Amino acid sequence: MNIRQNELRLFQYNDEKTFSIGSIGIKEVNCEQIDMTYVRVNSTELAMCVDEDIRQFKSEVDEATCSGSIPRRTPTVGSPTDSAVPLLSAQIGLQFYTKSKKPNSVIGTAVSWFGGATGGSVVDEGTSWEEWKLILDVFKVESIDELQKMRQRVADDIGEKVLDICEHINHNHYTPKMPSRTEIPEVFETRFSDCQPYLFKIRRQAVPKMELKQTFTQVAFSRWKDILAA
Amino acid sequence: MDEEYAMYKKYIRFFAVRMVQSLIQARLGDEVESKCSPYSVNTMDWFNMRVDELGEISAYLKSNIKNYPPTSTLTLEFLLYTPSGQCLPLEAWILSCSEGSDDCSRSELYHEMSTLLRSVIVSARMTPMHRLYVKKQNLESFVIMYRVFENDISSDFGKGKKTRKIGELSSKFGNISLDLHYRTSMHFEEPEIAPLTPVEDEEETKDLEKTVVDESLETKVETRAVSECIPIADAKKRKASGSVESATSGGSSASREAAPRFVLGQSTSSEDSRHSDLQNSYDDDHKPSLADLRNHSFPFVNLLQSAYNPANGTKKNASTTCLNSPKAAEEAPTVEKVAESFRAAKIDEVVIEEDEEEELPLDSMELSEDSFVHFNQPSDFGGAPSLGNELGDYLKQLKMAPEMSEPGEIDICKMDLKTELEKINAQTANFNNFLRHVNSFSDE
Repeated sequence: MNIRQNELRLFQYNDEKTFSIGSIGIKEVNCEQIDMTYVRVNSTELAMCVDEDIRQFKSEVDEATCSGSIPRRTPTVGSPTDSAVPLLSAQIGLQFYTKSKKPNSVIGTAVSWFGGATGGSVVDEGTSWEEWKLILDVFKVESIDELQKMRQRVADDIGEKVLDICEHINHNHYTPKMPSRTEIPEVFETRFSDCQPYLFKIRRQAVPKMELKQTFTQVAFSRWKDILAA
Repeated sequence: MDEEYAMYKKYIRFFAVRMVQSLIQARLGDEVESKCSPYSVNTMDWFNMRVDELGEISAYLKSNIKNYPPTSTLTLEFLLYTPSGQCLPLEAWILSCSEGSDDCSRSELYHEMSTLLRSVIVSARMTPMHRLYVKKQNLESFVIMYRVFENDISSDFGKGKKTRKIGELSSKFGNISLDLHYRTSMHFEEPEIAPLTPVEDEEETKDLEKTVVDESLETKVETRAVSECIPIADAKKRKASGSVESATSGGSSASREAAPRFVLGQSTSSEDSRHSDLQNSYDDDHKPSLADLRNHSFPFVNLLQSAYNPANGTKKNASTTCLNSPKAAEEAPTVEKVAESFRAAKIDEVVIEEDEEEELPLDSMELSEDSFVHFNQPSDFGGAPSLGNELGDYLKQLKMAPEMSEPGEIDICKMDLKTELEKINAQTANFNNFLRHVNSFSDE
């Protein structure tokens, strides 16, 4: 998801308003657990930054599924196989925002996918203009066969979801206006040396709070496999 | 206005080229990696995206799509092709540009196209075809081919066909949209196999728009190894019989031979262009490689070769164009090389054979590899110091040996040529040393 959304640009301003942009390169990554290859922006710094969040999310999910005392949510989808046991619906989200001095002034145009929220929401640093949420339904299976089936299905689903995302962002959606030179840090992330994505934040919620259940829009789902037996 | 329209046309052309390049490259099975680069005057990339171009794809695209925006649509289709001649259309990417002047004041078209291009690159890896087939391409099982043409009459993608509008961008001059159709049920169906039988194909000359390029995107190291090891036998077969029956021959040769047939089969316009390629093969630098592209299944090997070795590459391109034989042209260089060494080895072996023939009867009547090797050394070079009077005996022995020639030859063919060559080289070195030694004596 991140890969897709990051508009990576390296700016070269000629004066305050006109600019030229460098170009981004890509790198293919083969997934280990599922039969899938994806591309990411070829920036080690960005990849490490994202990985850090993902790693934490994964360990939180692991912890939650192992502890056994977690508040369980009803899975958003039916059981993938006959004997799969639902464990958890974890959520991870990606939020794009601008550091705005005038909060809530422009966000009438902000777009939220699937119309879940009607306007942008205020984040710590500024105004969110796009949010993506991924819901992971975690199941436990007992056999290698089932695990194999789940792997296959997870790959299929992720493929479809990414295509969904691509479809959605290419229909004249809102993106922040190109800033002037001094305003760059309000729109783009400037801490990486080789790319400048829109400002983004990864929001994790491995164990969702029950009261938030209604407000989250289901954007995507996937299943996290959990090998306990066999 | 005219200037703007020219710019719009340019955008579309550059977008189409990059889209086609990145989609095809994503299906090669090779790992793609390109570097992020900060802005610099020298390295301006269109749409802020680094997309390397492969010359053969560019040349093919150039010859098939003349107009930008395309008159109706630009369709890029991917097909799965098996050595047995079955063909399964898997995906079609359709870029269309509607005419008309909307009251669209958006000026972000360039950036939107940039985003769309990135989406294309991302979604290229998410379709079932990519996940199921791209990395598993192999001469023995299947390869992926592509074709580009200027209309939207794409193939049938079966029951579970899915359609997506990857992007729709509006501009002052009309809407640009990119649709993706893809197959989800991967079963061969009868009608798709039928048109592939080679006989009836020659007649389908009507469809001028369609040109088919066969594109086997074989990239795995192991497969490479196959294509490098097998050619000797294949080449021999080809030389002997002219054409190879796809059913009986090995998988690799079958697909190499069958692919061109497919080209002819799908549309005869490729035939036409092949002819024109032939005629122009000397004055147009693009044509030879294009012809190669159509005549064999491994165009990129050829490209690589010409890239690393320009002189050789062009020469070989020209020659394959002239030959216009179904023999895989990319393969030709390797085959040639191997064949050369093969031939050289042969000559050497013949020399040895003679020695062997006369030596063997003396010692043992059995032809074993060991004895063969064993006898070479004293007789051939090592034995040289004791020439002199023995020359007469040597000649006698030569005369005595005729009946051994046949079995001897057969065994030699079965020998491990490489190790034999090494031995010969070692012996040559010995002999040279000996000569030097003798010369030094004579000098004294």
